[in-house]
Amino acid sequence: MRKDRKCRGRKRGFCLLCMILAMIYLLSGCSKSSETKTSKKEEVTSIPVTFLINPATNLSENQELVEGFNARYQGIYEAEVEWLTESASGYREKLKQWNVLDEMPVIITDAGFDYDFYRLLVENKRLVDLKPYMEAIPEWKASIKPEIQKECTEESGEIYLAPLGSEIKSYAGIIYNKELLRLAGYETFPETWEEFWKCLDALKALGVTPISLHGSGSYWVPMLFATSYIYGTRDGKTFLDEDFPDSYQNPEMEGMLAMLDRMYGYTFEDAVEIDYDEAAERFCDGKAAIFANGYWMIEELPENVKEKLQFAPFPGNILMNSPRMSAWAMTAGYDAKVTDGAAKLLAFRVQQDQENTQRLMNQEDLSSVEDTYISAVKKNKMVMPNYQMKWEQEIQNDFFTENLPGYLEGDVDAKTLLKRMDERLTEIRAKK
Amino acid sequence: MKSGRYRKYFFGIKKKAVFTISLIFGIIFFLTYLGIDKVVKENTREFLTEQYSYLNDKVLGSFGGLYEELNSLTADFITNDYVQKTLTNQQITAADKEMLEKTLSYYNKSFLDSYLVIDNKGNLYSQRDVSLDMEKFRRSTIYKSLGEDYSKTKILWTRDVIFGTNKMSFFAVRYIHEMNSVHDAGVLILKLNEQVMGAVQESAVDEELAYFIVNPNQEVCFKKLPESMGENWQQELEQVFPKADGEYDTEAEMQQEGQKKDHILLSNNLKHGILSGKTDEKTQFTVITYAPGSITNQIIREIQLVMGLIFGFMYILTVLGVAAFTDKLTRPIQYLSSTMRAFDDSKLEEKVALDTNTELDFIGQAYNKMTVKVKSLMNDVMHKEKELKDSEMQTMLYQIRPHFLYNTLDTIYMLARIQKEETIMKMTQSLSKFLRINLSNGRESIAVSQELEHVSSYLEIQKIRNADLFQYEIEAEQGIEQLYVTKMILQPIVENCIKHGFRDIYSDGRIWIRAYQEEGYLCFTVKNNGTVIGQEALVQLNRMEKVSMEEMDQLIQKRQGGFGICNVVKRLRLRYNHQIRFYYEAEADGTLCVIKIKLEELENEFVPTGDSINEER
Repeated sequence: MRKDRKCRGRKRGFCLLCMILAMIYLLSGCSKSSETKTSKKEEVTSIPVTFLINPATNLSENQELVEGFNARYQGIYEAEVEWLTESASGYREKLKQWNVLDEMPVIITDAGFDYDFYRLLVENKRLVDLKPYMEAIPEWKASIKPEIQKECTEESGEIYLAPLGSEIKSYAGIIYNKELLRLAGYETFPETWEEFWKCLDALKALGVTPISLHGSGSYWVPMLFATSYIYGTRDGKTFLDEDFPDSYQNPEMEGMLAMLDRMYGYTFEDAVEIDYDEAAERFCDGKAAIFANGYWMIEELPENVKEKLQFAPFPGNILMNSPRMSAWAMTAGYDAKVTDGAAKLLAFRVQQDQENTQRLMNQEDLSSVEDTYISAVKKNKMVMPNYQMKWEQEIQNDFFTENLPGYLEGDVDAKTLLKRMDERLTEIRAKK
Repeated sequence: MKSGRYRKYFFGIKKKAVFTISLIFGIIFFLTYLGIDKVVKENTREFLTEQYSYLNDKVLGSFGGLYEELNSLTADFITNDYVQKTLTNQQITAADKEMLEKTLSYYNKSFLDSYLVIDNKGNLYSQRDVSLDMEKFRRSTIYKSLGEDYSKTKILWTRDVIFGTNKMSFFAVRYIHEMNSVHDAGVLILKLNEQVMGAVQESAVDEELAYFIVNPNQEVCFKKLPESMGENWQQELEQVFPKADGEYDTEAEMQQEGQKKDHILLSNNLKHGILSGKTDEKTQFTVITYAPGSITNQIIREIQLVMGLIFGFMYILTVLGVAAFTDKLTRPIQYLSSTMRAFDDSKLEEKVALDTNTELDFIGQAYNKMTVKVKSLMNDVMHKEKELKDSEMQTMLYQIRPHFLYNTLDTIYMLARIQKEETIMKMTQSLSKFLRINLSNGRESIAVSQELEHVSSYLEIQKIRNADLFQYEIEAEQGIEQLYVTKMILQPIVENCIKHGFRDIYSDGRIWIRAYQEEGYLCFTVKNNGTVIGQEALVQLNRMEKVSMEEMDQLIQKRQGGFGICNVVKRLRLRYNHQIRFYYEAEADGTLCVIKIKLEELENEFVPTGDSINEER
């Protein structure tokens, strides 16, 4: 009897236990799981960069680079580009502002143009030493010619500038409208300065603006002509090869100013007032026959325009090139992931350029202007340095902008101008 | 009385069912309530936390907007040409300085109290008369806040040691770097007035919540409290929020409060309410929105109350439903129970009428069957009691002066002997034996030898009466004479042999009586060589050992006679619990009657001690 009661008690207890367990189970089903599924997919790291767009063509030489990089590192890195419609000099000014405001993108272009600014960046630890990254990516290091790498390496061994691997795409020379020159009786571009002036006369006689120059901001195109003009002479070459000369009062500079003055007689009446972008646009539109710039401009030209144009060295078979011109840099202050991605973008740029250069050198499917560019590059030529890297920035930009219009108008003579130039140089040095 | 009525309507299965099911449902509802309460609490807190986080984010966004505005303002200052000039190696001219102060004053923002530009040579430029010990300045919180960053705008909430007010104020400070070449950096300091928090104040829309902004040192630099905040709120707030500056009494208390601060910023779900806090990445200021327990708990309490009411109502409904259902279920049980409790011999004719379409119907039917059976059994018992009484009466009648009868028979025997009347002598002797065994002092059982003697006496009498109609033989296996059997079981059989077997003959009739043991039975066989028993009579007689007692009587009626046989079989079956065999066999030369009694049953037979039939003579 007692056993029976005990058994019944056990059954009841079991039922109650089952019921409680069922309730707990049901309730546990009600409660929201606090566990959140963590996505296995890693977050894509954005690489903030700012690239220029050619205002005349709305194209960028870096478009292909960005697309290629994003495709190559899809799901890991993504170059987040702010496309900036700005002139090269305007971009360089912006860089200085961004730096002062601590808002630089992780990759900056034109990092080696302004020596003072470059030193500022280096000494204030605003740039990242690329050496460890280059060593971590051996193909990057291997893609760069030793002499170019040497140009971009600090004496202490750090590497803050990441240039292209070869100089092939870094030359600047004359780009001309072959159809307009043909009208003037020139199938090829004049090879001497005498013929150059004759050509300009012939074009002018035809009613064609011979040369597209500008003034505002920087005198880049006219200075390309002017510096190549003096580089053909021994003293001129010596002067231009000198880094940051202490004086600009010399016969070479006087000759250069005279040449500038003469050249502005073959351009638009408002040339001093217009900026580089306007001058480039007018040239591309066929409003002038001759322009001067590097391969980077050719890359940004539309295909139909490329076919109308041809490339030639400056008279005297001179091309301008400086390895530091193509150098980019990586700024400090970003987290390791972004910095790592940026380094990969720099490496990718060099590798992609190597492939493109190879294609260019093989002259496969090249436009008229590209074809003539390669021919000019392959020839024996005299390579002059970029004056922008040799002279004080304030002289190139502010002083020229402030004083050259007066000189070109005849308000100031060359000697006075050069004297003022030296005075400004003294001021600049004093400020430093 | 009340208890009795309660017990009348609420006991038994109904009580147990209502209690058990109510208990089970009570537990289920209670557990469900607890579970839902937990989930609701969590979800409500989560929902409220999200809601307050959203409101907090709005304030944070507004504070972020303020930072951007200040960043833009400081950018204008530090990129200003005249400010840039102060960083070069040249001393700026008085004209340039005047221009600098003019252009900086041009940035006329409502929230801008004062500005100060300190160049890299220690020169100060401000619209106010400021004098500064540079050494002290470099040790100040303001200067240290600039940190390692190159030129990020920093917002500070600190004591104004620059402009001399010594009050806690907002500052925006930033390094000024020269743009073009390497120079030491200058510092820009903007002192901001209380209007700087105007937009933040406007973004704190919910009047019921308390908003705080704390700086990286976790000092409260902005707070907006509800106007209707009562004392309870303040107490609650003090429990979860650190004291304002200078309110600590001891250093230990300050450390303790410091730990509390850390805890607050890590936790957003407090016992006393909900605290949403988020830190602005750029400024490291934290915006905190505090919803006190009096608001959050009120919402939860309202939900709990509604849930409690719903579950309470559901429980009451369940109890009532269970009571109603069990009432319906137990009504037929109660009917069955009351019918059974009221059952007595006067209600044998009453039938239970149930039509519930449940197992109870079978119980009702079984009860009805049982009453029929009980009635039948009662009739049997009554019948047997009557028979027993009759038998007792008979026995008593037989016992009336048996000695007188025996003495008379002895006198007759002596007279016959004197007159040498052999036949009378024999008959008188046989009758005397027959009667003595017949009466047996009222005992039911006698020894097998006595039974055989009894039948022998009877046959002797019948032989004299029927003038040599038959001869008989009695044979008994050795050892069985002392077994006791119920008396007078052979005489009616033998009587039938003479009556029916020898009805068609006048001489040479024979009767063989045998007694023996076989296969655990005590066996008697009576065989006669008269007319063979008819088939119908054989079947009827042989059914007697199988049918019920009532049916046995019917068999006799149909047969018009054989009461003696029927009496024998009934007595055998009653006496020996039906462990007997009784049957007739029709043989080629006569009729055989077989009686078998299980020996085990004989073991319980009464054995007379001391007295014997002969002793009573």
